[in-house]
Amino acid sequence: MGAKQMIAPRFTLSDLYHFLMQTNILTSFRLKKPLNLSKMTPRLNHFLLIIVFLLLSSTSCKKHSAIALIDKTELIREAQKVIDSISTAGHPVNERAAQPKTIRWDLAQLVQIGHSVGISAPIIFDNAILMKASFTGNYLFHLNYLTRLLFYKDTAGNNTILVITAFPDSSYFNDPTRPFTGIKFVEDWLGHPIQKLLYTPDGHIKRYIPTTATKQPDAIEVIETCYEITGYNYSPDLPDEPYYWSEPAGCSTAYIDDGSGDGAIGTNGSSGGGAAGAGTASVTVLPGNSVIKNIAQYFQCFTNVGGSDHTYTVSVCVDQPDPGTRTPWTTSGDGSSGSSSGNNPIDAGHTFLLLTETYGNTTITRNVGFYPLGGVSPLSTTSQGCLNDDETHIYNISGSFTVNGAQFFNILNFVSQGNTPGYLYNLNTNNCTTFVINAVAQAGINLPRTVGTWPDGAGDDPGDLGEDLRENNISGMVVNLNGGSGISHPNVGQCN
Amino acid sequence: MKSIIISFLLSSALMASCQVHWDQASNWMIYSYQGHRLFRIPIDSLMSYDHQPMNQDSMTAFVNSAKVFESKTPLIWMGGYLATCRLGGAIRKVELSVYGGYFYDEKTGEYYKLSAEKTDAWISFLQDSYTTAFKTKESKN
Repeated sequence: MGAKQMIAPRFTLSDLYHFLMQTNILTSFRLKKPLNLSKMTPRLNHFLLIIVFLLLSSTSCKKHSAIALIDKTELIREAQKVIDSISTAGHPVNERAAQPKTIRWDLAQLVQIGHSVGISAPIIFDNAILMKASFTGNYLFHLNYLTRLLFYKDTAGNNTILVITAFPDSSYFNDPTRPFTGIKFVEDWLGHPIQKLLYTPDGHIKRYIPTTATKQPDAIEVIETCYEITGYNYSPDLPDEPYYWSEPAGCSTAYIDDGSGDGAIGTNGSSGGGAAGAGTASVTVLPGNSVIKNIAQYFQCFTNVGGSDHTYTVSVCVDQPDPGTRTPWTTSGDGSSGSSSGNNPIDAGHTFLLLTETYGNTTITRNVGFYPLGGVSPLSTTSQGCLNDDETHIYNISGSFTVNGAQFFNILNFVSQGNTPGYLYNLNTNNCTTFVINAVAQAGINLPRTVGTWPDGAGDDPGDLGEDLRENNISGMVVNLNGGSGISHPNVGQCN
Repeated sequence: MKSIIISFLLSSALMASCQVHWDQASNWMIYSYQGHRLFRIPIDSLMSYDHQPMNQDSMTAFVNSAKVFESKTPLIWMGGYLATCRLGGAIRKVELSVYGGYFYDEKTGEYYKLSAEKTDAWISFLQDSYTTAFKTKESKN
């Protein structure tokens, strides 16, 4: 990849729209009244069309020639250097900025910023963070899709890093094919606010100016709405101590159309915070640590070192549907609250792994189980597989094995495939119990495979595996007949 | 033809009236129970279990988009949480699955599924709600 990456000029209407927005052409040519071509003479009509065509052609050529000369890789390298220097020199000033995150440089795009060319890349948060805004109705949306990084050199040649977080209003949320409406937060890398922009349904972009600098509006014509982002957050380091936070987003009277109305910043981002008629706006950040999206990160605290001072244990935890029996499934009851559909869920129990590494005074524990991504039933047995943190899952029996580092990491490697797209959960052939049996087999632990049957299917099952652990004297296994409650086997240990 | 149209309209109206408006549910509670009697505990016995309110805004935001999940056969249950809410002036018992983004409404015997983009957050939210509500208390026992 020594050669410079050149962007092939390819003109689309979308490019044109963004380019015009970025270079203020739309706002510069804002007309008092809309043109009505049908009322003009054909000759004038053609003349105007030619002028517009020439104008657009020249501006689009200008854009592509500027972008084509830019080395994207070099720009990314420069941006990374700047971010590294900022990160070591300062501290985040808001909760969003403090979240661990990854910049998706692989998805970065070159963008025109005035006469300069910058780069825009989505920011993905390591923990699945979901946001809620009262001005967007009751919808939830991922912060990942709302936040982008923008890097460019300003007119003085200074490197500039901006983080644009955009909150859609309910209109845009319901129909994202329409031009964006909502509020964009423009901040530096550490979260210091730089600008807030309100995108209104009538196409205006209003800048937030603190009230003291704003012309006082007539009391009758304005009903002031103050926006505030409030929420709660869970720190991965302190999962039991959620804390609340809020950020002001300005009041409606302080958003003024100053005539500049440019969309130069963050045209690729999503924006947010629709003004429309909301009372106090609020955004809730919801935590995401149960579904394991990044299994490598989930396991990253485990260390594979030689020597005898590290102890590795793997426990097969079984939640039998009818504890103490081989029953592979039970009906979940008759709907004591009044169900008469006979469609009650079939309780199949669950099997999962409890993985522990211990050295010195340090203990690292992780729970992991294999599930279907969607609902499965005996007639619909297959779904994309996914890994969940099972630290709140009960079990009634378990078998523990002490293994060495290599065996332990063989198990981790096997488990890691559980989220891979295309790796399927199958109720009969690759269910949670099959997955666990196959995982520990990577460490040379061969558990019995007693197949249970159920209407329209058969396969490994927690009922049989639980009894196999109880009844068989499996070499090296320590059986725990007391099981664990939903909170007695938490994940333990954090690392950077 | 006329009768077909009338039947269609009537059945549509009937279906609409039967639809559960989860966005109107309030007073969501989660109970300290995870065993296999989840579905068998009578609704009038729930108060004997430790229970805590859930974040109402979050629950509303999650369930308001829930759609009836049509399944020809019962779904496989692999564990979950017991919850209730107040809807239409009555307490309603609902079981929340630990996977798949669905829950089961005992009153109608229907499964309701959240939209795919909410599922991950929902599962995390349920786990956090449970641990936050009961961990301190149980760890003292």
